[in-house]
Amino acid sequence: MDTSQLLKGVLDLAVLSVLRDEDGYGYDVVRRLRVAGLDEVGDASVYGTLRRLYRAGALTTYVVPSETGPHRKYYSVNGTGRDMLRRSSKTWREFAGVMSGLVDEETEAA
Amino acid sequence: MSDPQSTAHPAVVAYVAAVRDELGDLPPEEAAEIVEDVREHLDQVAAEYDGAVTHAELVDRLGAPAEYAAELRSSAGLAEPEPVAQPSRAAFGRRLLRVMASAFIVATIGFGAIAVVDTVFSLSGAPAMFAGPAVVAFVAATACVLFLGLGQVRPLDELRRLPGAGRVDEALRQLRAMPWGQPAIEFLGSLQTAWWVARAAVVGAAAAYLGSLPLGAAVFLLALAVSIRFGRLTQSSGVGGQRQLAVYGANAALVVGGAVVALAIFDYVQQRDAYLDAVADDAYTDEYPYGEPYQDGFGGPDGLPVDNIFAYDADGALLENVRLYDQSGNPIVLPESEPCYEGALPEETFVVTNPWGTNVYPRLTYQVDERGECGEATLDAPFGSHLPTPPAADPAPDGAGEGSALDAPRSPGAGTATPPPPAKGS
Repeated sequence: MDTSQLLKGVLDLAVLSVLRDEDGYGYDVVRRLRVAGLDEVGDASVYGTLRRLYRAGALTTYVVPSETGPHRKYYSVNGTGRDMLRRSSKTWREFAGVMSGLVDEETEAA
Repeated sequence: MSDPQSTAHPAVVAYVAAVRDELGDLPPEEAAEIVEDVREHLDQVAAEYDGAVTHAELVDRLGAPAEYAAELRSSAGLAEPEPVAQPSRAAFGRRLLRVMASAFIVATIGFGAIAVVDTVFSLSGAPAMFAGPAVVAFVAATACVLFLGLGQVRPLDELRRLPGAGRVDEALRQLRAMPWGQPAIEFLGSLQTAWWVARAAVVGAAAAYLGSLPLGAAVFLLALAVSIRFGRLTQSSGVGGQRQLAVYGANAALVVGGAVVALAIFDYVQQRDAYLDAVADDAYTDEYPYGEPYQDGFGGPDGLPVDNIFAYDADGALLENVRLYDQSGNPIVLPESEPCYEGALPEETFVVTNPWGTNVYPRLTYQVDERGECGEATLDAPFGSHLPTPPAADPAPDGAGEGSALDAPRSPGAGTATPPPPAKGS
């Protein structure tokens, strides 16, 4: 099964999750997702998601000047974002639970 | 993990510009923000390659710029680009127009630059050879853009959709990154007021050319008022949509008008200079070159060229074999006619050089007789060997010879004249 198809629906949740405890800039978010095991996530998808969440008011940004390179735009989850994360997490757990139950039953039955 | 490099790599610049082109249909502010993010991203990626990243590596890692842009669009929930699904004839026409507009803009800049360099360094002497195509290309480019902008809500956004607009954006961004870039751009912006005056001046100059100078001045003042009013309106975005398009079209027309006027003035000045040079050359050739004999001769009051000189002394006697020099010691040599030939027209005369020298006068004359033969050379003095009427009203200049004895010619014979006198001058 193609993971990238699954990712599309949950990328918001994934991005909000890796930003929950620590602010990060775009490329940093990409790396955190990869480290977490989401190898197939596309760079552009992450940047697009960050932009959509920002426009939806779930993220705030601030720019940190870097002495050695380009300035970095850091993303931070705000109140709206935390609400969204809470609701999405709940939805995901229910969904994942249902899916797990379904898949496990199938497996046991097999 | 290495630090991101601050310098932009060519591959990154090209990739970002290509993505920028893909986002051309988005509102400019939004596109600019996204491109800023993309640039930051690409810089970070390039840093992983220690800066030495190639376009192929970027494509391998992130996908082609078009894929990157599409992925970004879909995940950001942005509107899809204009319906490529239906490549209608109209859409093809628009794409063709965009390519043409781009090409004409490049041609304008190219020919314009050559014309400027040519003018500044006077290379060909005919900058119109390049300025002409530049003007034509500019008109064509403007026509393409105006046509694209017709009926659009934001006509100027059409400019951002032209192929290569991303690269221009990228170049501007790099310019701003220079320490002098921002001041330079602000300075150019401050020239806007000067442009308002300049376009009024173009209209005024045209009126002055077609009508009179006072009319031109009046038109200029009127145009100045209108120009500044419109300029301020446009600046405060009080003009939008099709009216904005009209304003920019009028501006383009004024630029072309100004260029044509400037070319005409340049041409006029060149032709005038050439004329003045020619006149100066003529004046020079009218002067006798130093140290050389007189070549052109003198014109007599009857319009015939002078080809012989007869000198009479104070007593009215004809002087023969006189050497003549001017104030510089140049021998005065009048032009000579061709030698007498058998079969010439009867009564035609031929003047031959005095055997004593080319500047010795009087010269002898051949008078062709009725049979067309030259015969003997004779001294053909207009008043004969002696002036017929004594110049009584003209006493000797120094008053020494009060008797003057002009009424009693002493030397009636021409043969009594002096032999060749010694050359004058020290």
